[in-house]
Amino acid sequence: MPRAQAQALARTFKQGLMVASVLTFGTLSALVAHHVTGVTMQPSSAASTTSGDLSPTSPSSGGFFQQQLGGFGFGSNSTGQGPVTSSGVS
Amino acid sequence: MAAIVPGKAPSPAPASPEASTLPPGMIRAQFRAMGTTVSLLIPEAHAADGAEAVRTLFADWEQTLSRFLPDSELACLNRHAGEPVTVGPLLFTVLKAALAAARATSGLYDPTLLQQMIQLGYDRPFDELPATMPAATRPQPPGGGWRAIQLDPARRCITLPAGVGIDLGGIAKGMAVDAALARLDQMGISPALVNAGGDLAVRGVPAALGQWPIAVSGRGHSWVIPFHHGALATSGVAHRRWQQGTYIRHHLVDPRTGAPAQSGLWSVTVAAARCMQAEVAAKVAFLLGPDQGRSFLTTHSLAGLLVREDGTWTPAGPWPTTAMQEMEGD
Repeated sequence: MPRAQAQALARTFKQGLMVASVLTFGTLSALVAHHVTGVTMQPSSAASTTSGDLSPTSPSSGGFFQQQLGGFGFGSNSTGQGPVTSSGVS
Repeated sequence: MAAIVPGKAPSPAPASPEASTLPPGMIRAQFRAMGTTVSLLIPEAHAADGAEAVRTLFADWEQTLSRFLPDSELACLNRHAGEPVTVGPLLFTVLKAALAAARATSGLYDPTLLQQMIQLGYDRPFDELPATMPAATRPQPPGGGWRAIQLDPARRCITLPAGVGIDLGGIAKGMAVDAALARLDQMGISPALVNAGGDLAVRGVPAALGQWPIAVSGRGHSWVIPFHHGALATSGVAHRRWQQGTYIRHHLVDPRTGAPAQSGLWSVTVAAARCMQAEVAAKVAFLLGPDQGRSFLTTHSLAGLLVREDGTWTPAGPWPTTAMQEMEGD
């Protein structure tokens, strides 16, 4: 193969490689962005009753155990008071 | 009609959790609903309207969510497994929360163990179960049916997989407690405590006490702990036990096996922001056993008391170990 033809082939190959790299980067970026959006939106869609999607339940914790509304708290000490009620076994 | 008991002065720690005291100026009302005794503590000034609001709420929830009432929405849904069924907002909301709990616990909390419970003999209200019943004719399959449930929020439509049934017992009770407390809050009634068979939540504190002294049972011991805000729930095997063939059964079924759990625990009490969370966490920690259960609670920033079958116990998270006051007579 003549040298000039080989160099032209190499240039074409490099250009192709660059285009492929840009396309791959773009595709991966789009996938990552889409994934992040999906994860971010899951709690709000789970909390909504107006979504029109017919969807099987998806594997996500959805913050079920998130301690909102000030969480829980105990008194500071034992004061010798009798119990007002019982958290017995149900 | 709810029974209402007027308040009286507090007394020293009584010998049993049932012998509870009342903060001054408050009343206790109690009634039967959802297979258990529901009690509430509210200011005397709101005795009638507060008790009636909570009683009505629990009656509505039971009528919608009971698996034992043949005309409940849940029973109708279970009869039509395999078909899309349009349901009311309450059932849709509670089932959606149950599925969120299942996802959050990787299926250790499983609302689709109805067939397993029936095969174990728990096919009617617990009060009506015979002392002994024939042995099971086949082994119980594991759970996991919840993964294939389809929800259509726009039409409030639920499709259960064929052969799968829902039992919302514990989580429905916890959510009803949360809802009752919210309703009292809307009515301007505070402080308040709502307790459905041990699943309880509080709002505000009685002025005379500055906290809510709550009895928590172990095995052979009971303690009083100072509770301030949030919810408490206990899961265990002290009650709801029966004999099937030669086996002693209980209601805490492990979805990994389809059989009653054998985790080495006697009971787990959990504190959380909401009763729904405490109820689910107590059940899951019980299934996981002492070590993994404790890790589960701390991972989710919850507090708990895990009591082993031999009566020894271990706390999890910020459980108030040093403030536990052992009750007389235990």
